[in-house]
Amino acid sequence: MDKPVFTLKSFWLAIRYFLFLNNEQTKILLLRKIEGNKSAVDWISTLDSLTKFDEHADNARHTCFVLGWWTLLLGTVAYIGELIFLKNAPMTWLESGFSGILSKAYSILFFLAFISWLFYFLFKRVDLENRLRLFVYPLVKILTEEGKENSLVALNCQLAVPRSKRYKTGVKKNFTPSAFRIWMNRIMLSIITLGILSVLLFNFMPEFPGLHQLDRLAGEFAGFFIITGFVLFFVWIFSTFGGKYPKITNTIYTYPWLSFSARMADDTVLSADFIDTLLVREVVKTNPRGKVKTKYKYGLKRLTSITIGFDKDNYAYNASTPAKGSFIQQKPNDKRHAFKIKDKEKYSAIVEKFQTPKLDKFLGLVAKAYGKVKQVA
Amino acid sequence: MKRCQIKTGFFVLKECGAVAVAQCSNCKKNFCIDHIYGGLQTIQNRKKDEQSGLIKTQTGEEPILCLECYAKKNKETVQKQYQGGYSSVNTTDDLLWYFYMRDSFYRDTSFRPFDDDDKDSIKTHSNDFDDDNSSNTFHDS
Repeated sequence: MDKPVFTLKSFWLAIRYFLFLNNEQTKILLLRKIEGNKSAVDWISTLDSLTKFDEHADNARHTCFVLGWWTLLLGTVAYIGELIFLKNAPMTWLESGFSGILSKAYSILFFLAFISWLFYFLFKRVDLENRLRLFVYPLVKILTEEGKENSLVALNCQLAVPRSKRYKTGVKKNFTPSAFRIWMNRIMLSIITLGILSVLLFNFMPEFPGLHQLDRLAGEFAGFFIITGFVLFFVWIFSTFGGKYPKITNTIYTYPWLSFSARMADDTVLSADFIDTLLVREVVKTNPRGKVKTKYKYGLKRLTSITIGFDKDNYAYNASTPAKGSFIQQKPNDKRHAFKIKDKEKYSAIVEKFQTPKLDKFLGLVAKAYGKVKQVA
Repeated sequence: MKRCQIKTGFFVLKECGAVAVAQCSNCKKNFCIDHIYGGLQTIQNRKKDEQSGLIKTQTGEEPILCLECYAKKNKETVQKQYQGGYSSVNTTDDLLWYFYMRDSFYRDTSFRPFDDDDKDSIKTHSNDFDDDNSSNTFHDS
């Protein structure tokens, strides 16, 4: 399933599958890369647990996300409710212990929120692209039936998300970012971080005798950072939103997500390369009222390149009208009828959500090549 | 000894060839333990046919189906099970997914796979490659 679902069972199953991963599977999970030469059956046994873990982890991450927000919201409501209750409730109500129940409730809810978000980010760290279980794994399953027994399948698969630093191949801007703006961003971030730490230290410092001095300092720092941050905030706004518009940034990611080669049961050699080129266009412009808006556009070019070589002992060329479009024949060599197929697709969208590649489409391209040959007796 | 007659493969079909244990009540093909719908428990406690040595559906019994026939007969049920694509978690039978996928691929693309039986009826022609008049250069250099 491409869309994750809310289910608590997946949480437990994801952890269980994770704990039973072997060294090779753990390495694939952490590096987000598959590389090697194995038989199709061996690939299935390596990838089986990984695909199951990934499916459950996706559901668990979604569950943690939903739970995290709900527990945070309910905990905040309970906390605010207790504060209001303590200030305004009559004495009899205060003595009833209701305030204690509210205090325990928001503590538990905040704890659950913390655990949910912690696991959300942990599952996000080990998330694998859905292409593994929606394309690669089913493809390897077909190769266990169609592939030659005991022959090796060379597989190279990237499993990180396309918009990762490792795939960034180019950035083009129509403006030069000012050094002042870059430094202002860094200063603001540092001030906000130190300010939050000071506030937390000031509010939650334990009551130890020797730490009164530190408590006072933390309070002074918190005040200093709040005032300085307030002043610098306006400087930052001016540096960020000044300059000429529109500001356009084009970032290109080249994502060679799959490359494999295999020998089929009929001695046909099949190899394929799948490369996605993602273009992310960020446009910052002002509307007639002077408001600054940022818009994103996404473009995807999908290139599938297949090389298939039919053994001349088993196949002869089938004279027929060649297919138009993506089909090109390569010069045949002595032993094989070799065909090269290139298929290109283009998509564009305003949200970064593209369909995962369809296995049916790839099989259809290979079927076109089979349509070019006929078996010999 | 009877052999499994279920066609495996995707672009080139060939018979499985494993030792057959039962016969499909729909297509009458013999099939092995890997290609039975429902697994081993479907044929447990059933009697073998004395003549063929295979387990067959008797009168009043639940029909024994091979995976291929089950996938074809119950398209909607199987389609719901694998809606959105193959899921290693949903399936209790990976081969059911395989036959369902293959059958729907053949239907959707009208692709006719090669079959071992086709080989006997094919003859090679020596002038197949010499197509000098064609602008699409499929001949040897």
